[in-house]
Amino acid sequence: MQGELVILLAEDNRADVYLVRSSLKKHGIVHQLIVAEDGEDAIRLIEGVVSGTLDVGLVLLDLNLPKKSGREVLQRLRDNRSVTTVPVIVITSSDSQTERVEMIDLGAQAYFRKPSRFEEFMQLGELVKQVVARN
Amino acid sequence: MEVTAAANGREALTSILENPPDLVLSDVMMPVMDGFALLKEIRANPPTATLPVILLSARAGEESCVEGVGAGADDYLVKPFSARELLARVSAHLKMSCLRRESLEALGRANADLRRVNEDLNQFAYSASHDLQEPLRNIAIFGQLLQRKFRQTEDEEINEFLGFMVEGASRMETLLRDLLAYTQIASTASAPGYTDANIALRHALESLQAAIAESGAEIVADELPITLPVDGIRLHQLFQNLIGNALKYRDPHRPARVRVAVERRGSRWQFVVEDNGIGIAPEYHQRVFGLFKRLHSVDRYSGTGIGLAIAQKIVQRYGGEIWVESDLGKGAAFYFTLPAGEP
Repeated sequence: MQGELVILLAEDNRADVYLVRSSLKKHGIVHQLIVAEDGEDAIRLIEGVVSGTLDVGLVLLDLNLPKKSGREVLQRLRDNRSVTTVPVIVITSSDSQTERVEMIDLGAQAYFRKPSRFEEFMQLGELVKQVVARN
Repeated sequence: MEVTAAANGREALTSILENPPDLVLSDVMMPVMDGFALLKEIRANPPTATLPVILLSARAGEESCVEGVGAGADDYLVKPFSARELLARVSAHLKMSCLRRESLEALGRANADLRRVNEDLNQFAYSASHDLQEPLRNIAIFGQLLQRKFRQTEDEEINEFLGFMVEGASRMETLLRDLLAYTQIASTASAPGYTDANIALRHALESLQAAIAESGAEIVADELPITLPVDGIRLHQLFQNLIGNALKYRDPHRPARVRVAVERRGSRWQFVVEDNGIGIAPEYHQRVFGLFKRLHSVDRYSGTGIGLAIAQKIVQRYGGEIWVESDLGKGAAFYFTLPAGEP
């Protein structure tokens, strides 16, 4: 991975922000993390990516966000796919096969179910590495 | 009482459809459209189908009266009749139709209320179990992180307390997952078609492979019906929960044996899953089907107490019954009935 990766994390739960940060650190991912605390905030930042004022290499998207859901954010990203090809990893608490398929259909590169074991949560970093390497 | 007159059946029908009355009093013999034809039209039209109709006729005799009532008339008056008799019958039928309408409306309202309450409850249980998982996950994870931080501590209580906390969170996670599974039995529509119970049983046994190997249980099964009008996944789940329990509550002093048998009872099949395990005292025979009801401590037998609640919900969804016959130390036989409904 060359240079510093700018990651947009849309997540309102501070505990999960901490865990995401830890898992990135654990996998030696040099990054700048921009945190959007709600869906509107995330969409605003994504508009910035689309207009070229913000450079983001990866979006980590929680689905259960205040104001606008992660699904809406993902839809907005997809609508702008011609302008931006930034990869998205959906991170969610739910364990639904239909949701997983739906998110991938909507253009997410990967789906990460937030586990309730710390070690498993740390594997998010590995997934981030894989997705970034692929794109 | 307000009376509108029509010269024949056709005219009457037009007037009825335009401005529905509370009751129709109709002669049988009329030009253009007679009383029977009018009655037929009234009954065929949903908004007027339950409108009380009294036929009037000069045709005496039991025969024509039967004919009229058979065609759907509420009453039949033979000419000549007295004004008092006519009035008495009209007011009796008005009263009856009013009562009928009121009770139908009340029934419809009660049904709608019941459906709504049921949906609300299900939705509530679903979102509660779903949304509670997220904060719970954080309690579990940060409990684990604290355990790591205090691994070297001298104070043993810190680790003991953290252990209780992490275990509690993990147990609650299982409970919520089970609750979610329970609510989903009601919400997912059943796949139409028929299920081969032998295949459902085989799938259940495959899912239980590890438990069967561990217990060394012998499992025997009758030839089961091949066309049960129930969802195959639900039947698999039902067998799995009942046989799983039979293996779990086996008697350590004798080799476990489980028998699956079936018997035709009228329009239903009566299944039994019978074991030679530790049994259940009669006073608990109802309780074991309750949601999250358990008879043993978690340390002795794991589980949340969801298995039989799910089994009961599945059986009840198909209008069947489930019960247990057992005594302490004498094994248990779980019976359930399912509709036969051959294709």
